[in-house]
Amino acid sequence: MDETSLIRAAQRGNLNAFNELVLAYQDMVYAQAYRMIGEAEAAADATQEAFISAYRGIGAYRGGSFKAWLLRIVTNACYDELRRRKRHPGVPLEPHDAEDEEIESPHWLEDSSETPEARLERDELGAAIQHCLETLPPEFRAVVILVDIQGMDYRQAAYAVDTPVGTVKSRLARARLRLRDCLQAVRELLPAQFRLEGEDRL
Amino acid sequence: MSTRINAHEWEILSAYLDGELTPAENTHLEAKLQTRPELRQALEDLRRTRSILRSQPAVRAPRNFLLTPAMVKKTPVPVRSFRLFSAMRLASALATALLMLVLVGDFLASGLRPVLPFAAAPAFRALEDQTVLKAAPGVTTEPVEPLVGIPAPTEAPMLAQEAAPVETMMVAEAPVAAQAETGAEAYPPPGEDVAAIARAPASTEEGALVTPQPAPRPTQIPPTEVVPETTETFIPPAEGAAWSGWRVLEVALAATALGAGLLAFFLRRSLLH
Repeated sequence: MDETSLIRAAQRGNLNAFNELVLAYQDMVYAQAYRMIGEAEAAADATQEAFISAYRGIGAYRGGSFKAWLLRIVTNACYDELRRRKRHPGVPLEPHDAEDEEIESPHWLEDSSETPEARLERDELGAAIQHCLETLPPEFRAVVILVDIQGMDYRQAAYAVDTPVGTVKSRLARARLRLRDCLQAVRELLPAQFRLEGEDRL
Repeated sequence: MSTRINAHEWEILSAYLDGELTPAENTHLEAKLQTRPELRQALEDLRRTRSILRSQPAVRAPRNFLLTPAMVKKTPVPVRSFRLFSAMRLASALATALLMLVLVGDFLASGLRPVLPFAAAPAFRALEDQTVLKAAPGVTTEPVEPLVGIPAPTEAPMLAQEAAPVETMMVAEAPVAAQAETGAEAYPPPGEDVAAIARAPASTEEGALVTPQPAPRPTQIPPTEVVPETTETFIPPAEGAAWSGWRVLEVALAATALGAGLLAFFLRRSLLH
């Protein structure tokens, strides 16, 4: 069955058809959640929640990019999770020891297990990028992930974050600029062809 | 030439990288890039930043996220429920827009309204004079006194209109008629309505704010000869109906907007959670 037929079947309550869509899009949805939240377990929870919401709300899908529709749902799930974390802060991003001194190697630089996200963390450049992404406000982060990592155009990204295209354009420029500044701080990690030299700032 | 790059230029550079500029913007930017090396450097920085992000290996799901029937005890919300939500949202928006229009219309109409009593006042006084003088010879031996002694049925509504033109216009007809019938009640019963409050300044003008004045010799002027004419001249009966029409429309639209909006809100909550 093609995607359209699967969606129609899911709209009639066919869970198996919907699960075919889950298999096709779960990497993309999880990647968005992981980049947004920066923590594997919470990202998995947000992904699962997003698929449940998508199944419940698939009647609202009226054509267009199904990928953008799913990304909109998971981005909203991530906003919810980030808001919840802000209200109930758990482990700080930069852990402190008993003397309240910052620990030298925070989690984003640690080596660990064999899971895909752990492999990503072992990659120092990847970890640095994830760290820089997490320094962005969530609204900026969502846009730069959608465009530069998920490869969406401005119109699709605008739909996914429910803002005008002009806002996407502005947020993306600011996000890229902040990322440039952040990555300059870890320039020794960057491959030679990616070294940044500019000095201008907003 | 400034070497600083402003926020708008960063936006243009960023969108240029993504091919999201119009042909005219493209041409304009490319011309600027020829003359401003700092823009070229900034563009190169953005290009590299974007390349770093794009160079990242795709994150893969750590497990499957297949749904089980237990996870989704409820079947998908029927498509028609989303249509009902959309319809309610649209109805609420339309009713709100219409309400705004009606309020603006009401406001404009009420903005014009106070001009009428002031414009009508001199004519009204003239008419009153004529009426009283016409009626006087057959009825009384004091042709001048009624103008001084009977202010309430004529001047009081007029003064009240000067004090609160909009509200009084809606209800002024009733007090005038009531006064015409009784010919004695120059002051309204306490707590009557807005018109009663609006008429209070008129009482003050007469120098009797608290103590009601006694009826000023109603027999001197037959009310039937004076009041109907002034009532028709001063406040056409149709205006009261038109004003209540505004209010009914406003209340109905506000209720529709609120009702449909609330329904849409709760539908959305039940659909998405």
